[in-house]
Amino acid sequence: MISPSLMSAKMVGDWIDLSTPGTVTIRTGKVELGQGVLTALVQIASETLALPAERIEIVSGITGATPNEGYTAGSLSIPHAGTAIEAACGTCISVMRDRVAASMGASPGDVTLSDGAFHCDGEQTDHTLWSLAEDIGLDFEVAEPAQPHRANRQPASLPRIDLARKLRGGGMIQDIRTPDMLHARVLRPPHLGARLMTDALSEDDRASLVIEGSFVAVVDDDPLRLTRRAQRMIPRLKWTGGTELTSGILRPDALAVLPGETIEIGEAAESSPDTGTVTARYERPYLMHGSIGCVTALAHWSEDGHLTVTSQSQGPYQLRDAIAVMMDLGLERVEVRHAAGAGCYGHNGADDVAADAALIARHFPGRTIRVMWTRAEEFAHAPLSTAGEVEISAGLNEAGRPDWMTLQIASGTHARRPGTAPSGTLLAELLRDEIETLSPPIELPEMHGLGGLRNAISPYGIPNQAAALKLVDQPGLRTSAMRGLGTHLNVFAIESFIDELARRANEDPLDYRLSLLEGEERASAVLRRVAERSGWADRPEGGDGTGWGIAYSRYKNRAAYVAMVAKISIDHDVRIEKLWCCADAGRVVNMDGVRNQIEGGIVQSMSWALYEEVGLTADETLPQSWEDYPILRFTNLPEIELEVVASPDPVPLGAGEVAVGPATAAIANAVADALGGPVRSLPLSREKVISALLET
Amino acid sequence: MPSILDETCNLTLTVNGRAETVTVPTDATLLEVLRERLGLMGTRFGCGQEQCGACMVLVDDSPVFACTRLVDSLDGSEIRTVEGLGEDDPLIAALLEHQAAQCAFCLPGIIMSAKALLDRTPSPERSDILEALDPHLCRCGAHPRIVDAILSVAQP
Repeated sequence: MISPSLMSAKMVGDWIDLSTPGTVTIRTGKVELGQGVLTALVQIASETLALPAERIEIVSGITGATPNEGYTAGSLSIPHAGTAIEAACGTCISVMRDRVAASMGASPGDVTLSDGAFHCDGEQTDHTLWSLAEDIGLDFEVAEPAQPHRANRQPASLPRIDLARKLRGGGMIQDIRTPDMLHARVLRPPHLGARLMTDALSEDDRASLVIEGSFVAVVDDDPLRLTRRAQRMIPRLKWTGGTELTSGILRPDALAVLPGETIEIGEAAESSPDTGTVTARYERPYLMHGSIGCVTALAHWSEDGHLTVTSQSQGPYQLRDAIAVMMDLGLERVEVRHAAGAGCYGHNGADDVAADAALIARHFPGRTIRVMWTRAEEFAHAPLSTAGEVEISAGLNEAGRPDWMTLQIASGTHARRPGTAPSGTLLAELLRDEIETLSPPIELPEMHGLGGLRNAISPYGIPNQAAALKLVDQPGLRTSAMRGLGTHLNVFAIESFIDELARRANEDPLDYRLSLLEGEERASAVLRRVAERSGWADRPEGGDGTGWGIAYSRYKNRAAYVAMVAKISIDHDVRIEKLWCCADAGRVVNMDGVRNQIEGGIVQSMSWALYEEVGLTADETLPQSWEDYPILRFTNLPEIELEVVASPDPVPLGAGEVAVGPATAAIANAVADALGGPVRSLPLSREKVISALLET
Repeated sequence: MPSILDETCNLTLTVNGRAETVTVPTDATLLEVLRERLGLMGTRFGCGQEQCGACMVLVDDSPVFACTRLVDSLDGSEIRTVEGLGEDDPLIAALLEHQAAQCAFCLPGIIMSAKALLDRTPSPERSDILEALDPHLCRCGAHPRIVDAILSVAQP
């Protein structure tokens, strides 16, 4: 099957609606997160149907009305939805062309399509996309094309269809207001698993709140009054139990001592005649999503008991199913409709806030409930991206190259979205039912590109490679998916290790990598190209406060090939001077969209590499504000030079997550170059640099 | 117990050249008034603590965090928001030309800071732009494009 999206939406009519003459409406289950996916999908339909983009509308992420394409995640939207829409549009034209040819007594080769009208031997016919849709319907199966319908098309760049409106304000879920709206806020326990002491509340207070178990909400028709009422109520709520946090449990090395199930991949590495075993340990802290906008949702419970939820979730169908379970409703009584929110890079609070609104809505039939989280909720209650540590061991041969390499990883789960467990994935459900134990940590299967084990097998020609992941649950911390999952830690670790091996062998890290990539033409090509553009061969020797680093990875070992060079300086803090990237992302639909995604991935990864780390506040809580969780600022911005190479690949490989691993790795290798030895722990902060200097 | 809304006041503000009268709690912020009383959604709530810049507006031509500025201090001030920019505003045109956004949530605030910079310094250096945008956070990593777009409207 060319796209898994076609499994549950087999018919052309699942993807295309031609009921409005002159307009083509495309349906997709993928949703806009700021990555420009809807623009790219409109462009695909426009190019396949030879119709101007202005005449194509797109409907996205509505349960029951658009295909169920799972989560908008994993850099898979163009590979999955794009491929499906291209095939659906192609099938539609092909079936219609045959029909026109038959009616004209011509051969299908004589029939062409222009601006929605079919022509035969150059003469316009009476047939259009819309007239034929009315005549024959669209109830036929999407056929797999021998080659993509747009195979010979050069990458173009349709400008974003949603941007003009968003730049002027408006167009986001946070901006929707309705006349029947009630505003609500959930008042939260200090930490996971704590229970509300209902008896400690006065009768008046109790009557003024929505309370189900330990789920507590304030509701008001005036958002200004809501904020003030909530502020007054917070100190009156008393909580008991739950898991209090200590700074110790946030340390990545705390994961090593906890028990957990171990999952192994790869060929068990038996030691061959080697000249020595090298071992090194790398770690990454817990990270936060840190969307600039606070997650928001609307929910409406109709008088006849139907629930409509408007949500910025990445998975409308999965959210619908989880809400239906939480509220004990048949699926036919719940509809989830996607609306764009601020940038989302994984499983943040979007699903949770939707469940908050849904639970409250049942108390107010006929009204629209709006819940927007506060900044403190964003930080202290949304899922975290797990910390992790990796121990890499390798047996080296006489040439200083690994005969075998193993990774021992310990981390929390990257997969706790709705749908990963039968219930208990929504915060509102945990509070209402006073559930203290989260669903067990799981690892994503190979089919989904793995989770903690993503990119744990290196892309290099090392004969024996294996990786083992110990999946640990750190009590009190809810971890789940964020951009790239395990790829960030694993690529940082492997690429740092490869640099350490190159240094031992006294070889240039580029040459050392290329020698391990023999026969891997596309991998070698991006590495050579990034070296050429950055002037790698002529770089100054590291030290004296400056350094250069290089890194390479192929996302999920099967998607885009990405090579990076970083140039840094150290004066107390690490400063990135410039970053060069060369990527082969397969067939490109919208070149500017691919570039934007890769640039964004690089910038976010720079922020993870240098600045980000979840720590405890003075009050022993998770961070509450940006002051507690600094990220990259404009004044930290280096120059970035990106080249997306012309690819021999006939299929798109995705772009959103492909850069996060190698960007951090190149920066870390540049820091090691400057210091004369590696810093094996992220972030590469002033403290880490100083302690590395003291060690060398 | 008196309801909180008993402590309200009537205020007249000048927003994008129009006089607007609102009834609000005495401690209402400018952001609350813009979004929840005047329906101007371009000015965004991001943190409420002057830490992200999503709420940046111009008060008498200077960038101000609307999330903490109390409205009762703004009598007689000229407030400008992204909605007050013209249809053919060159900065917005440049941002579109550069496709300088991903989610675009942070952009209206950034636009107002950039406006103030360009009004003050029509030919800014790249470093001036980085400095002027330092109060703003962007999580999508659109920074390079945003800076390039602003540079492109700088007078030579």
